[in-house]
Amino acid sequence: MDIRLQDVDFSYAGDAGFRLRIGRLDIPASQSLALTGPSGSGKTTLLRLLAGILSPQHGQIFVGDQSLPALTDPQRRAFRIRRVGFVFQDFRLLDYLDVRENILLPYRINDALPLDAAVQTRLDELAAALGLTGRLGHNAQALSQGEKQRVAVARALLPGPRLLLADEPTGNLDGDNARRIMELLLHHARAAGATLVTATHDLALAGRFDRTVDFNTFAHAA
Amino acid sequence: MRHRLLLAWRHLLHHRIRSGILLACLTLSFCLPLASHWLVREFEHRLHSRAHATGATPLVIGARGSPFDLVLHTLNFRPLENGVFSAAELARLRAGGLATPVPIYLADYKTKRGLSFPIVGTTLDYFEFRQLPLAAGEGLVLLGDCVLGAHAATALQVAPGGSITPDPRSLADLSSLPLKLSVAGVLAPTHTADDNAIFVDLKTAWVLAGHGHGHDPAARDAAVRLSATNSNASTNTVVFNEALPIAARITPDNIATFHFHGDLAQLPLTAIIARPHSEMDSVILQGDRTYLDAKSGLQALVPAQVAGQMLELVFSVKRYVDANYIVVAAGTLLFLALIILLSQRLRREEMDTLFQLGCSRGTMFWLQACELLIIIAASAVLAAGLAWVAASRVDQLMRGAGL
Repeated sequence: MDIRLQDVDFSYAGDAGFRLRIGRLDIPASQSLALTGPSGSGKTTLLRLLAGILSPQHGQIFVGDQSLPALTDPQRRAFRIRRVGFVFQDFRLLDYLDVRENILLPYRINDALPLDAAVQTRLDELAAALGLTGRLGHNAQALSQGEKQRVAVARALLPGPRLLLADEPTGNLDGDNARRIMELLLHHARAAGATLVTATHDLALAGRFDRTVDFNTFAHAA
Repeated sequence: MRHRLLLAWRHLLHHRIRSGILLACLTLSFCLPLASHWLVREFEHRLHSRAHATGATPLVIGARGSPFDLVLHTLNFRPLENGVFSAAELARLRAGGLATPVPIYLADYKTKRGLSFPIVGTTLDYFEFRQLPLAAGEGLVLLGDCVLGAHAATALQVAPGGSITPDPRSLADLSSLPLKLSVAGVLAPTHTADDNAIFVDLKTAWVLAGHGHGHDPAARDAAVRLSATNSNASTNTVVFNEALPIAARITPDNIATFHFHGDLAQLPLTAIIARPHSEMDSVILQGDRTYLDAKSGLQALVPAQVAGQMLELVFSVKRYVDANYIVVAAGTLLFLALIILLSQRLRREEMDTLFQLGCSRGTMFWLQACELLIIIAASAVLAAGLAWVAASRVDQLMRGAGL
């Protein structure tokens, strides 16, 4: 799913100190893109704009042939459910659910995603691929940091998103786990033909992506 | 909805302590007002059924003191402290001809597993007056016989032909041997205090209270035959032989040896149910100087009036308690609101995650609403369970309250 941003201008209500302006950014379908740059440069904001969580005050964001700013809130939510997978830096697993239920969470909270036997089969395959088979019945709290992020990746991948967004997915991981998680993201995104956009501070990991955008020079955040 | 309920259930299970506190608060808030309302209704029903309904008690005569205590004692055999008066009043009423008097003397109890069954000394007139049908056996025939209320018979696990022994008055009382009573009959259930009573003849009650006794068969020739009926009690001859051992049970062999020391007219009663022959007789009896004069030590009461005053008192207390419940309920609701508010803050990140995963605001609301619904439903079930337990023990509770 290709992405095109043009003349995007965004600022948070009540926060005059931040403003993100992007002249033009094109991301071809199935490309992996790393967003680098210092904290506060607007990487996370861009990911949230691409997910349809935020909407710019000006400019256009096309994901596929869909203009996100033109959508209503429910439409953007529907878009997010069907098209977007999100991986967070702090995993965002629910501590009262076991690993299986955490991975199934998008299906539990969205009626648009029917939970059937095929999904359960896909979950088992995904868990096997991510080395989580033996951990499915464990509580999320009992997992290591690396395992937690793998669960978060599985949760993002299970619905088969065409756009995978990851916000500092290795920020809380050590070097080995960080490399492993990034490889998993790249591998599964390529295997699924999904576009992968990742915010990261790690320039070495960013080098493994098809393309890197440095927010120091690319976007203007003030 | 199934998914929301599952997530809500998992969340509640994970936060067991918080859920438990909430559950307990709501259960008590549901249960207490219901239970008190129900108990007061039962109290009212029981009091009215004896005071007003069929077989109602027209007039009660007893020692001066609390009218409530005397009425509860007469209607429900609740213990009465310092409430005895002499049986001479019984003879006076009989002689007056204005009413049929039914004597009551209650001094002994049989207890089992914490339950206390009053041993009520009376005459056959009581059974006729209350229209108490026998479910098994026969009525009081001999001295030493007893007839049990339905619940008392079940609880004490005795049937006609069996026997029961009243509890000693106190552990320090070594002067008398408890008299074993023969179970002559068991009454059909009436759902009144009669169900829990052990009825004996008035003279048997006096013997139990130590006002008379008998001796073993060796003293048969020296004994006095006591009338099995109550009409000719004054014909008893007083016989006393200290050398003979006191009989522990009245049998055909020793019945003749049972006797009372002193004048029967001076033996104690705790109440008299007076059945006036007419409304006029009732008015005359109530106006009897004996009952109006404080020095006489006696009073005549209309139970329906006393019950009405009692209920008025109970209802005024209940109104106060109900007002308290409203405050408690308001406090619980505020507590609930506080928990929801704090929960919203604590779960902000969780809700933000759900939102970013595509969850609608409505679904987020329902997730939390389902948690509340589960707690409320569980509280309602628990409250109903507690109410059921209270209902199954209402008889015991009512008897504890003297009903």
